[in-house]
Amino acid sequence: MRNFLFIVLFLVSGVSLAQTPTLQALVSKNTVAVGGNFTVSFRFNYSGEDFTAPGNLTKDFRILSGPNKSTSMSYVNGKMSSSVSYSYILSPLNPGEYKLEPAKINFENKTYASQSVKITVVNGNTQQNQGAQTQSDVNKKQKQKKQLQKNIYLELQLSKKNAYQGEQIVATYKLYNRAQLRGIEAQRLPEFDGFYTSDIKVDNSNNHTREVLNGIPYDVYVLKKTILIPQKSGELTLIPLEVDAVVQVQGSKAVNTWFGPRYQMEDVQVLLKSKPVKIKVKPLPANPPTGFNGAVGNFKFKTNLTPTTLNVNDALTYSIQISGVGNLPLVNNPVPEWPQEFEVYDPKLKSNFNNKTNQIQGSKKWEYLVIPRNNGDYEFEPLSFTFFNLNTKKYETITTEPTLVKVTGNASSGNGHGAPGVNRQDVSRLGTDIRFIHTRPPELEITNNNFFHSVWYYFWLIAPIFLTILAYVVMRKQTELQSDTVGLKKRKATKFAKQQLKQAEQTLNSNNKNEFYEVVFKALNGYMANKLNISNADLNKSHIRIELQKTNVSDSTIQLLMDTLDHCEMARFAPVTSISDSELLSQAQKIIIQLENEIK
Amino acid sequence: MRKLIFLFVFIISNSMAIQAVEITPHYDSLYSLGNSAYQQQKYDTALQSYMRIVESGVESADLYFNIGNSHYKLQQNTQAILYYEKALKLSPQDKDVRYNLDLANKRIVDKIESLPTPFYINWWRSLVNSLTMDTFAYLSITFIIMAMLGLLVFIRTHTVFVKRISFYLFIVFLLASGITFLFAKSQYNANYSTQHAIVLSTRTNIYSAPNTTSTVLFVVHDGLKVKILKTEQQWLNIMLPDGSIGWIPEEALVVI
Repeated sequence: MRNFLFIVLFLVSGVSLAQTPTLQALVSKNTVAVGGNFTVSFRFNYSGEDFTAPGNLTKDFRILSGPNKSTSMSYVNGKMSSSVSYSYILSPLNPGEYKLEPAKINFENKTYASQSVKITVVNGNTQQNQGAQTQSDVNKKQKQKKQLQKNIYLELQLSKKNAYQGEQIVATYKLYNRAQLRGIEAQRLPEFDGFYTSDIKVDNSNNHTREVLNGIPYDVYVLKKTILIPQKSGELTLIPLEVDAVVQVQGSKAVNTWFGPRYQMEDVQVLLKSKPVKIKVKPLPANPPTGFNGAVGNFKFKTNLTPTTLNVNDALTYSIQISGVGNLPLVNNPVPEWPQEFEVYDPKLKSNFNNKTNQIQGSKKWEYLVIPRNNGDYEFEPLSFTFFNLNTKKYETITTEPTLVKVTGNASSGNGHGAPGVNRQDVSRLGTDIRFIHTRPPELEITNNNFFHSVWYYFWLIAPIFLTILAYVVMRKQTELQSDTVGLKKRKATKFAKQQLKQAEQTLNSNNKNEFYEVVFKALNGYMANKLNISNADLNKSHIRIELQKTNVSDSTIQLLMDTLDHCEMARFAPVTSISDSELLSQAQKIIIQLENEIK
Repeated sequence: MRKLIFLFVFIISNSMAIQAVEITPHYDSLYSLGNSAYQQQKYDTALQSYMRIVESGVESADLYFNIGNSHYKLQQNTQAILYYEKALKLSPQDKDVRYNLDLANKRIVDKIESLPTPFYINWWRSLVNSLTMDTFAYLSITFIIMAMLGLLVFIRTHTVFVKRISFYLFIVFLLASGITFLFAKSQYNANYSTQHAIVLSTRTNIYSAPNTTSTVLFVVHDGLKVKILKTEQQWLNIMLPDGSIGWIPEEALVVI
């Protein structure tokens, strides 16, 4: 069973999801009496837009309330659906048959219209007397109504119909009554476009006053009292006030009593409407003085400064007070020019005005907290306030006296208020200009003569590299030479000796004995000098022997060399016979060959 | 060998003679004349004396700066911009010139958003422009000489410590020389191998091709700095600071 119910519910929800968008017009009742009310609502089952009300809605009916829009959203199985409804509470104006034209709404670029609804408007209290009305009844009703309109009506009274812009006007809505008023049901308050308004509280406790108009006494009720301040010039219209009043009238049905026919009293709702009123607003005179801020009325202006002698970083209060009668709520304060070195905080506004005497009056006071940050004598410049005086119809300016303030003490001592240290100030920029010309003597160069990228530049860049390479090559050569002199000498030694010996052979043939021995001696000596790298100064037999002994030359060879050298020396001075000249030569050659082999 | 050294000395003395410009007292008096005229707010006279120095074929950043100032004071904004740009070319880091150029640029008609440059480009530019081109050139020569001296010491010495130090010095100075060369080259590329120009005529059409019958791409006004890309007879292909390119008649521009 439960499962079945679930399925049914499911199906129902499915149906609702698939529904087509329709705009439905619903009426609370189809037959309404004049003065009665009914509700019309247009319901659309999707979230439509751009709702258009039926065209004849405002023509044939009075809208008591509406349009009242309400939207609803619901989630069913995770899907969202929404609906909109617009409803009106309407009251018919005249009896007859009416057809409410279709309303329209847009949804997904389509327009949907509602069905039209028939409304029957009848006279009187329909619910009770439906169908039982006679022609005489209707006539009587209309007569009654005319009587009522004389006996009860609304009136708007203005204190003045011509006013300056900014001038106060008192508007009073009065209900004049001679009928049997049971109560007031609904009030539709008028809108005051182009006015600043200030409602005056109406004391309803003492109910009404009595006024006699054209010899007829009326009970007068003050419904609303407002002070209007026009904000723009021109002709401004006040939209009427509408009131639903319930009045007791004689019923249409007579009840026969013993004293004759008696009528039952009936409650009738009557719509009361004041007449629209126009107000002429004059603009203020042209060319107001500078500093005029829109203040209209009769004002007093005062500034106060306390204390006038104080320490640095102590606070002083500068207050501006505007008081009097006029458009005080709209008045702004003139802003003072503060002396330098003063720190100023936002003003505190104290308003003290009311409209109890049917005009706005009182005072407005601005209090500035000002703190001097440096010592010295300062002057607070005079302050001016300009307003339009309604009595003299002229602009008036009140200027206060300048005030001197003496600030003592030291700024840096700082009494614990500000930060310690010197009060530093920002340098304010007053104007801009180009920087001044350069007056130092210029380093002139030939135009477009850049060192970079010139031939000289690249020359200079590459020159050091070439110079280095050159220096390297030169140095290399020199060290090479230095390291090789000994070897060269050695290599030269044999060659030198051979040359000398060849020369000796030649001198032998020419029989110059002395020269021969000298040459041989020189050859051997020179050979030794070169071979053993001995300088000429050290060249003697003992030194040669020592040097030769250092090398691994055999003693016999050394002895043979020494003998040969001795022989040469001796033969130069005395003839020697132990050995022939040619033998000496070959002996010398033999020694050189031997030394060559043994010295390595 | 001796002949080679002699040749070097000759070359060096020759090149020095070319570098130095003889600053005659004539220039000095003209310059101070201009300065005093400027101080007395006779900007016409000041401009005339400055221009006489320029006309004799010499230049300096200060001189161009003063000419720019005189033009600015005479309300000749375009000329002022031109001479400030000339001064900047010689002395890219001069703050006074940059400040005045900014002020002059505020007066020009065209408000063109220049292409945004990445921060590292800006860093590189400020590094490259920290000294003048020729200063970098001299530095690169000094560094190469130092590097070569280091190399010689390295070759000659037998002490390990000295050898190592001298080798490091050689490497460092060689790198320094390379970097300074690069800076100078970069400035040269920015200012000399690519040319910039200032629009002189008050209103000039920029065409899509180098002839007046082609489409007008946009209109520029005097004082705008443009980059010259190509030259085609009497026409120049230019690039605006915002990157747009077009052709402009030669006479509408003056090269910085």
